[in-house]
Amino acid sequence: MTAAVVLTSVSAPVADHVLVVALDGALDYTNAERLRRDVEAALGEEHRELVLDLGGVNFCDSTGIRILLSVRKLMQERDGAVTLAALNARLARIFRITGLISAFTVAPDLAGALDAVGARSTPR
Amino acid sequence: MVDHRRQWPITDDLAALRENIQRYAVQAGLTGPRLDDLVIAANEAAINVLEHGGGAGTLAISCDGGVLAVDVADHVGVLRPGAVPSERPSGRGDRGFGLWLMGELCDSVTIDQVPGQSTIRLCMHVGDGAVDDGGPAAGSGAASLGRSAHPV
Repeated sequence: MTAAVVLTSVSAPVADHVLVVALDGALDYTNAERLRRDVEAALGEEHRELVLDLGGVNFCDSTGIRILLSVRKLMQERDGAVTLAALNARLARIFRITGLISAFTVAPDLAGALDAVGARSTPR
Repeated sequence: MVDHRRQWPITDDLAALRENIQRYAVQAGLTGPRLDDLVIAANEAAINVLEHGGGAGTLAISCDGGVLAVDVADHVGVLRPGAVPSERPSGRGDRGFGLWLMGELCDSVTIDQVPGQSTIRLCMHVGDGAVDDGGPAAGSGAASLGRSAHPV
């Protein structure tokens, strides 16, 4: 297997209730399930807001969409929410066609996403 | 210049398959969002084969008379003509969702069924002329697609 790997990196905490995860690569049938496991593993009891920085994601298929929706459900079950940041033009298009765009809060970049979840009022 | 049909086996190396499709489609004159649409749709068809079509199949691509065609064949033959939903299925996990998406993304989607094999054909018009000037605006996309970059 080549490429098509979604690497996740968890940034330094910006606020106790916020988890920021940056994704890189192509989110597809071959790795979407692993992304869900990685996100679940990274989530702590205290996290109510999940920010997914998709700036490094160049492709997302229906399997990726399915997984993002299941992550959203996971957060909703703990009275939380998911914010997507930095979608490139290709992702924005597919998210809009599938209607996924309306299921999430979407921010143009990571800073905007952190504003949206109220994380930046907290000292770093 | 694209003058012959190419074919690849469908495996779980979808990234390589997408690269192959993209390379061919660019040479055939497809650019911008429509290029993305075809790659996404072909990827969905390949997933269908991996998930529901017995796990093995072939993807062939050809360009004839200004029409770029991707044929995705499985070795099961359960998928029948008319299976492409015209409206978005409510359940995003079923096979219909990927089929619906292909219909949204491509100029046409047709299914051919013979015993032991179903083939999805995805078509994109690439224009009548052979001119491929690789237009400057095609790749940037920010202007036409930027709307969704605002908080919902």
